[in-house]
Amino acid sequence: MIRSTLILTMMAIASTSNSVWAQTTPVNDCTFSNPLGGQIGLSKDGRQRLGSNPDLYNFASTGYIDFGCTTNATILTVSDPIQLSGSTIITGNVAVVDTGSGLVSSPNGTGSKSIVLKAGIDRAKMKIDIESSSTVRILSGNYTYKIILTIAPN
Amino acid sequence: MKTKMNRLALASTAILAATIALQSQAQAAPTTAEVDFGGTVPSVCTFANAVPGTVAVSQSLVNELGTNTNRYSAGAGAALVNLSCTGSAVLTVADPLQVGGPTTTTTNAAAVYTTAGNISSPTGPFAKTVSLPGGFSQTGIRVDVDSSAATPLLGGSYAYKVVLTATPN
Repeated sequence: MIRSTLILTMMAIASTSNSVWAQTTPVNDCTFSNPLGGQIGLSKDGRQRLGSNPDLYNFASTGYIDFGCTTNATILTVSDPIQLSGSTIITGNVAVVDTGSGLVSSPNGTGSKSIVLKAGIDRAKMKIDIESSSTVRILSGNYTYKIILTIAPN
Repeated sequence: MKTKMNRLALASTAILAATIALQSQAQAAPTTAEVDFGGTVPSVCTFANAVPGTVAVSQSLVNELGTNTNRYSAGAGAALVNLSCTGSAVLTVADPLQVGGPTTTTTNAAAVYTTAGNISSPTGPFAKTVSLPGGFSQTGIRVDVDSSAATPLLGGSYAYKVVLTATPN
């Protein structure tokens, strides 16, 4: 009995170092689906800003994504928009996600930076808007951004 | 010896239990998704904050009026306007259009003074176009009007309209 316990203990210690022993990998049952990219345009008020909210920006449209978890509550966060192209490098980039049960701002934003989403509720078409404020004049050309949504166990 | 082995077994069991507890706390990896945004900023120019000018009669000639304070009576003043462009453009100005006044002026010219160069309307003496570089922006661009009539100007209010055109390339 004592020997077998010792052997088991050694196996357990070994497994801690290589993380393969006797672990059942938890299943993350949350999924994003149907991402729909947004369109960005220049600010309607003449300020040096690009954004996707059609109420504030010309030729703009909000982005959307579906999301759901069946068993586990999760924490949703969103990254600041990452500029991929454009003739003017814009430094003030903010994203906001409207989950239907609260807003989440990216790190550069002023609102809450995360939200707990309960399991069992599908959130179809969560709205995603970005805003990009420049300290210099925004020149003509094509601009692209991406944002990263992350869900982690609560 | 047996006691020592028992203690070792007890300690080992505790370690095992702790290890299993740690393993059971393993979390699912975060899940991420990317959403793309894109758009085109067109090459456009925007005029803003136009401030009307004031015409006054010439200091020396009774058939001329205009806005240049060096040549016209007290109260004269140029119009001002802001202009910004997202791309390069060409700026032109039309001859002033008289829209009020008891005497019709027959020679009407406008002049525009920008940091990229000065231009005048077709009747004026300067170049007729100026190329604006990409991202051009200037506040308070000065616009002057010079008008003259074939006869002395009758007393009254005179009004002119000047059209500036910025055409993106």
